[in-house]
Amino acid sequence: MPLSVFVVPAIVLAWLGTYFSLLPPLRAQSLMFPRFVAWSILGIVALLLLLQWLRARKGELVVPPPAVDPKSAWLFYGLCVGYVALFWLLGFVAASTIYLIAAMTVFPVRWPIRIGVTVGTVAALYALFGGLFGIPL
Amino acid sequence: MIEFMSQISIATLGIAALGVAIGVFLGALPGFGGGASMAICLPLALAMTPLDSMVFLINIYGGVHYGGGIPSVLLGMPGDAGAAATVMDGYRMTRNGQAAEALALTAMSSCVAGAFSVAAFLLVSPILAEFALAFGPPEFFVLIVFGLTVLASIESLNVLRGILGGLIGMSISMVGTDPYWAAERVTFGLPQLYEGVPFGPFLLGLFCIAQMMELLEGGPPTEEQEVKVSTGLGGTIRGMVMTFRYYGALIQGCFTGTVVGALPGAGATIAAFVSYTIAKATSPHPERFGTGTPEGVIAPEAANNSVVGGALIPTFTLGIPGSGAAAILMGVMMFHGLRPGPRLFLEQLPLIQTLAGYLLIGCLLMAFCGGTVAMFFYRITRIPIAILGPVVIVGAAIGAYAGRTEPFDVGIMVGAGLLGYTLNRNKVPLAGVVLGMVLGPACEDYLIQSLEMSGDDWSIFFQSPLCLVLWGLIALSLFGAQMLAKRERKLANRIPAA
Repeated sequence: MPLSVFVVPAIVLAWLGTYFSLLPPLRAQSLMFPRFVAWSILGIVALLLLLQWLRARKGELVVPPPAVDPKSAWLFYGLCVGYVALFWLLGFVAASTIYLIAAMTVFPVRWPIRIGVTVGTVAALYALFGGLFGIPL
Repeated sequence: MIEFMSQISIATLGIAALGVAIGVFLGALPGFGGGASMAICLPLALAMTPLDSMVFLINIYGGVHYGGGIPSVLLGMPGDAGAAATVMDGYRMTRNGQAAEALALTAMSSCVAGAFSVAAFLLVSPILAEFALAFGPPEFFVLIVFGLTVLASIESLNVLRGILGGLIGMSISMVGTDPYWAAERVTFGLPQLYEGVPFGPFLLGLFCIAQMMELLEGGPPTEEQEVKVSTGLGGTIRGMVMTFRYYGALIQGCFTGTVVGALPGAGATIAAFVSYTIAKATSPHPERFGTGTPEGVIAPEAANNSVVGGALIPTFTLGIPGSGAAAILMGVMMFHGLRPGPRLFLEQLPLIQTLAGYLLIGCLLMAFCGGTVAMFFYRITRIPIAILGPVVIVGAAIGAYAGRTEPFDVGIMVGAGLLGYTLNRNKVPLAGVVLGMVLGPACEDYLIQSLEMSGDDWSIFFQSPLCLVLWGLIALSLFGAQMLAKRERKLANRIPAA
């Protein structure tokens, strides 16, 4: 079986491990439903793995996922993580300006468009949310 | 009708148009639901006459439900949870170059559904209100279980993955304080999580970041890269006409939305997903769902808009607000000295008839507004991904932040994006996660309430006739999903052979 089959189970197990380790101090009524959901998730994941294994044993053709180049996607995600950190430290205006410039430099866009889009987006959102709706940015 | 014609005023018509325009605009912004949008406009509404304020607020509510479908169709990012079901086929239509058609479909089905639900509100309110009152905690619990069977049909070939998505959503919805003892559950000691994982930011990240990452998988984007699109006017007219070609999905969506909307606490998300499931189960081509079929857009959009009229039924006839938005409306009515309840229809019938007349006009305005949006906004898909991606993320981030003005929520959005991308890559439907998150807390509440009522006797879920009917529907739904999966597997095997 390809290793990618274990990605979702690994995430689920990590989440449920945290879940189970944080639940025990609670009373029975608070625990009933989360435990039921958690055990159901474990059951479904086990069933999914069993089915995959049986299909692999039978020699059934597993359709490979389409070939992709995940580098750009992960680069984009890295930029998003950086944006969150900047948002925390500098606030919306500065963080968004830096993020937009950086993102449009990494995925190249001509300079005049880069500047125009950055200034236009930040100004429009600031005017709408900060000015009109009175949200502190 | 004569009563209405004699009371028609240009100023109130203008207020209805303003309400629709504000609703569509706010609905299209990430993170603004019906309740939040109405709350923002509350100071304006309180300064109006009773009729004008109700026309204004209800048209905002209707506009928000339509507006939420616009980013769902264009960007694969639902404006609110009720529009999450529209993503499945609406966004696929956009990727197939039919953005204008998809937008026109959402506008026309929203208009018809809105008009249908207002007519239902006027004509069958007492009957529907009585039906809604028959629902106690056990019936609501079984109704939610019925809603969960939707998961089996979202991905009929991957029933287990659909259910897994729903359960993951439910487990996330359990974070926060529990409904029984108000004890902290999986909050990691973070005060930002006491009220649970914020739904709006989570939804935005799950769809928006995951969608953008998926678009970028094809390699680094260029400035010239764009999606093929049909022309605005032709596509809009085609889409509007197409709505009536799939009249089955349209009528079904209207009925489902009105009935679900009349149940206090149910709401647009459940209505949209249930309608999508029924449309898929009854369609002659269920295999086309998820690939960009118009039925997959019409059914959920009709349902989530007919919820508006449906939600007015318990609010006006019983004085029970079924949602946050309905509660705001009820507050405004009380502010103006109107007492929602069974006597309202007797004492204020002319006012209610006039209100219904303006709401019908609001629906027509929505079709006009939607047609205009479809003609011009489809151009968003022409913006290269290298520009659109970062701009969408900034827009989503401010939408996530605006709810509680917490930078933490932007972090939640980005975290949800990673989860969404991973689940998407592994064919776990994101719509299932959303449905699980929406239904989880209500499911737990009703389960605990029912067991408290019965002294931990589980047979309470099988005692009332309504529960039994709902269990029957659940069995039918699961059986139908299995049959559908078999049919799809057969078709899938036949295609490579051919």
